[in-house]
Parts: sequence; structure tokens; C-alpha cells
Amino acid sequence: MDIKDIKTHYIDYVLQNSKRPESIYLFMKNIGGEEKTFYEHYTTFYDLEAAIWSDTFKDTIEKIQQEQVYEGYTVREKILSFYFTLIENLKAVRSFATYSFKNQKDFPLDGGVLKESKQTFHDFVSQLITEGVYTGEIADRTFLTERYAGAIWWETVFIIRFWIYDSSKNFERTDAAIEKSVNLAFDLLGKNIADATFDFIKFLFSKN
Amino acid sequence: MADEIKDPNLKVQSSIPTSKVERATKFVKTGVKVGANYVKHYAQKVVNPNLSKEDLDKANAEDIYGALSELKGSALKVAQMMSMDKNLLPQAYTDKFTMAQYSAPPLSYPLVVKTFQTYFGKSPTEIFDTFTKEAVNAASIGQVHKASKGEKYFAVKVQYPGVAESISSDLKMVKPFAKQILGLQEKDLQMYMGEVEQMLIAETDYELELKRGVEISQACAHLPNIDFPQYYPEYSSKRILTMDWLTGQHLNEFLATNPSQEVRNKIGQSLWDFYDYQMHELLSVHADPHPGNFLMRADGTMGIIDFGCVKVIPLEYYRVHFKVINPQIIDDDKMMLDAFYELGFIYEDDTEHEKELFTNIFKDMIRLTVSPFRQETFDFGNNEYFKMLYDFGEKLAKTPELKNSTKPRGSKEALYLNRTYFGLYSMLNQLKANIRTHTSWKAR
Repeated sequence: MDIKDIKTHYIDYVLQNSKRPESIYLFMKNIGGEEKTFYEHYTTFYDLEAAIWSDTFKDTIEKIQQEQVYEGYTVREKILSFYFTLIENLKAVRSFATYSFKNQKDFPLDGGVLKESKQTFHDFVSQLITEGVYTGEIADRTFLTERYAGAIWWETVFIIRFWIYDSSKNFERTDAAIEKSVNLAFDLLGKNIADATFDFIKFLFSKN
Repeated sequence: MADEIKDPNLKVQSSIPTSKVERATKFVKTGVKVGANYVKHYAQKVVNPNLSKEDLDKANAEDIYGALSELKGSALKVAQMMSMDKNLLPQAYTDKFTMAQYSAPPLSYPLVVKTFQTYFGKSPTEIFDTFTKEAVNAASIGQVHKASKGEKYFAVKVQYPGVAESISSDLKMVKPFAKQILGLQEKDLQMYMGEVEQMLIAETDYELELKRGVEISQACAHLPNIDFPQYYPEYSSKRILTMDWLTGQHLNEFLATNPSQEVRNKIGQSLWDFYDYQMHELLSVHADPHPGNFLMRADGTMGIIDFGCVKVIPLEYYRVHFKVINPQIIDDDKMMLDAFYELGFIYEDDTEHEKELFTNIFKDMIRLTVSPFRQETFDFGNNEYFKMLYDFGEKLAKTPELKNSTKPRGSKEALYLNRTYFGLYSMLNQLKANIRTHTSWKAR
């Protein structure tokens, strides 16, 4: 019994019972394994869920990077394609995702079931930000640039939450939410009115 | 391929207002701005008394267009509709709105890929050999990409997500707005809005559009000098529609090439025949005669696309509606009066004064609008005639009895038929076509 089996069985359990198993012992026994196998990898069901979410993030990144068009995309398009694919992947286990997301201990911005995914995403998006600064899509701002990844993570949590509570046909409203929030984010990240304002104010206060 | 429309100022939309609240804010903002333009106008007029009303209209139209072009879907559709009804709107509005027909900001390519994945389980490049990353043309509720496979070129229309669901709420918002610029009464709007909503919802169903496109193009296949794209059900779904890529130019570009009178007449004649045939033989009409749907070519032929907006004319209504273009009826007061009651132009319980007033108004209107039908040939290049039409529209707008009428005048069925004829007349006017205006009208 390897990690993958445990994960598959666990998702299955939550999908069928709409709750977490009573205990790790019972869960492992039911799937024909031993409790200690579980502890070799995780301490709680919660950690296991976080790993499952993180897998989905990793799969998504791998999948979009394999697409032929991906290389030719702008940074904005790369992020869009990440979100669309992420939601597509999550759809396959929607009931599990909904249960897990709604029943987490911590606020997902700081951790919760997305704590591992946050790191995965951070690595992915930091690279994109560097790329964006290089191509000029993203403005390089003192002190702020290093916070961009955090801001985009916030957007990611927003999108997942939006999808969890979305009741439109085919989740079309989530598609629209992705499109619009990414466009907004990139308008903010690119050179905009704030830069000109800041520059002007700096000028006013720095008279010799 | 000369028909790619590229506006250098057209950047990928930076933000599309989503929720009803956000969209409503857009309209409110426009309302405020329009108000401000009036203030500005009158302030400037104090200084410069020569300032014309047209300057004001232009300023207003720019603000309204600015707000509308950031909205997609039904709001834009309404802008398009208003731009067709030239005689309802001052010229400055019309020009701006005509632009709206071409340039809605495009949506991102990843979303296009995603839509393909949803319906076909494959990305566009897995289905076609080539597929343009950017839209080559923006329609009101979707955008068009050009694709190729082997020797063949395709136009692939992809619909924006969530359009169908937002129609009702969009229309509710447009209502007070339309009331304001069109000067219509709440009750008049109420009756017509239902019809508009129904047509818009039908338009978001690409499967229906495919079916209708196939039907009408087959039924009209025998008409000379026009052609239709072939549709591909295997690459189409509710939100994606694939058809042949047709060559040709849109009206304005086409006119810029200075086509000869002969060619313009030929195209005008095909247009007329195409509409006449649908109207009287098929009883269902391509009710979206805006210039973006006609691809004109130097040899006088024309490709016709977009069967999203098809008005099916109920036989009952057909009988009455076309009674009034019966060449005899126009000189027969008794027959005409009967038709007016049937059409809801006048009512039994109108006062004598109202009856007389409306009878005269509608008699004038019909005399004017059907005059092309009553002649063997008609020169649509005759601007005198169009000036008379606009003046009549102006006069109507200024008739207080019409504005204050407590009853709607005219059937909702006429809405899209009138729009179709306005569109047709206006295109023929721009073409300056002199054509044979025979009609296959017959008593049914």
C-alpha cells in the first residue's frame, strides 16, 4: 500500500460518506492496511487532505506546461490557463473539494488544507513574476515586487472559494470570475496610475 | 482576406463588470455623464450661441458608447439594435453605436481553449491545423477566430461564458436607460421587452443557429449572387459554432473601394430579393441586417452569415402586417382603418380626436415607408427620401399625444420586422442602389 492508494481510498471515503473517517485506525483497517503505514507519511487526515490539494496544483502546473501553446503565452495568459485547468481538475473531485474546503480549521489564506498548495503555487508564480518583470508586463516596484506572489495567492483562494459556492450552469460564472479577476490583477501589477501618482508625490517632497 | 477588423486601439479588455451591481454602476455613471454633458452644453451655449444640438448629441453618444462597449452581451446587443433604428436616434448616436457593432474587446485565449475542452475534450489546435490566438472579429455575444484544416478555412465563433444567464438582468437595467434616450413609456417598453428577451435568448443557442442557418441557406440556395457558409455540426456545440470562412468586405470597407454603380445595384438587388423571399415565402427572416453580417465582393456577389437572430412571422400576423402594403389598401380608407384596428395602431375606445390623429400619423408613416414597394424600381441613393423618413421620425418623437398615449401602438411582432426593414433600407441607402423593388407579396 503506497501513498497513492491511501489518497485514492481517502477521496473515495469522503465522496461516499461526506465526512472524514472516524479514526485513522478504522480507515486503514477498512482499506486493508496498517495504521503505522499512514503515520509514515501523515500525522492527521488534515495533512492528507492538504497533500491531495497540493497534488492537484502540481498536476495542473505540469499539464499546462506540457501544452504546446503555453510557451507562447504572455504571463497573464499563463496564469489564466493555470486557473482554468485547476478548476477543470478540481471538477473531477468536486464533492471532496467542497467538503474539505468548507471544513478546514484555519483560514485558507494562512494555511488550512491549502497550506502545501500555497508553497507549490508560490514557486510556480514567482517564476512567472520574474518573467513578467523582464517582459515589462509587470511593473517592478521597490518593496512591493516581493509581495506580488502573496497577492496572487490571495486571488487563487478567492477563485477556489468562488467555484465552491458557484451554482451556475457548467460553472460559467467561475470562468467569468477567473477572466475578470486576472485582468484586474494584471492591470494593477502593470504600470498604472498609482505609479505616476507616487512618482509625482515623490517629486513634490524631494525639492532641493 | 480583407475582412479582418483590427482597431489598433482595441486592447484586450482590462476589466469586464460582472455582477448586476457593477453593471448597474456603469449605467449610472453614463447617466451622470450625460447629465453633465447637458450642463456643459448649456454653459458653453451661453458663451457660444452657435453650438448645435448635434455637438451635444455627439458628446453624449461618446459617453454612452464608452460605457456600453465595456459591457458585453445583451447590453451591447441593445446598443446595436438602437443603432439600426436610425430614425429613432440622432445621427451622432448612430455613428457611435455602429462602431459598437464591430469592436467589443476580446476575451483571452486560455478561455477559448477551456471552452473547447469543455465541449470537445480537445483544444482548438488538436482539432484544426491552425487557429488564431486572437479573435479576428468580435461579435456581440462571442468572438470569431479563424481556423484552417488542410485546404479549408473556417470561421469559429466562441461565445462568452455566462451570457445566456445575464440576459434577463441586463435587460432590466437597460430598460430605464432605453426609456430615457428613446423617450418611450414604461408600458410600451414592457410589451416589447419580452419579445427582445426571447430573441436574445434564442441567439445564445448556437445549436439553434446552426439549424436555422442550414435551413435558410438551403431554402435560399436558388437566389442568384448570394452564398452562405456551410456549417459543421461536428465542430459545433451550444457555445461554439464552426462554419466556412467567407471572403468579402463589410459595407463601409467595400464602399471605400469605389465599386461601380452596376456592382452596387447588383448587390442591392440581391439584398432586396433575399429579404423579400424570406419575408413572403419562408415567413422567417434573418432579422439582424447589420453590415457585419454581409461580406461583399468586387464581382457583385455577397456572402451572408449569422443566423442567430431569426424572426419567425406568425401567419396570422403576416396577413395583417402585409395588408397595409397592398397597393390597393392605401387608397381605400375603410380597408385601411380595419387593418389599423387589427394592428393595434388605434383602439375602439380611443377618443375621436385620438382616432383621427393616430389614423393620420400611421397613414403618413405607411405611405412613406412602403413607397419603394409601390414602384417598379426605386433609387435608394435618393437622400431626399431618407431625409423625409428621419424628419417623420423626429416629428413623431415630438408628438406629445404619442408620447403620452396610455396604450402601446403597434404589435410586438412588428418590432423585429421593422428593425429588419430599417436595416435593409439603411444598407441600400449607403450602397446608393437603384433596384427593382418587386415583391412576391401575396394574399394568404
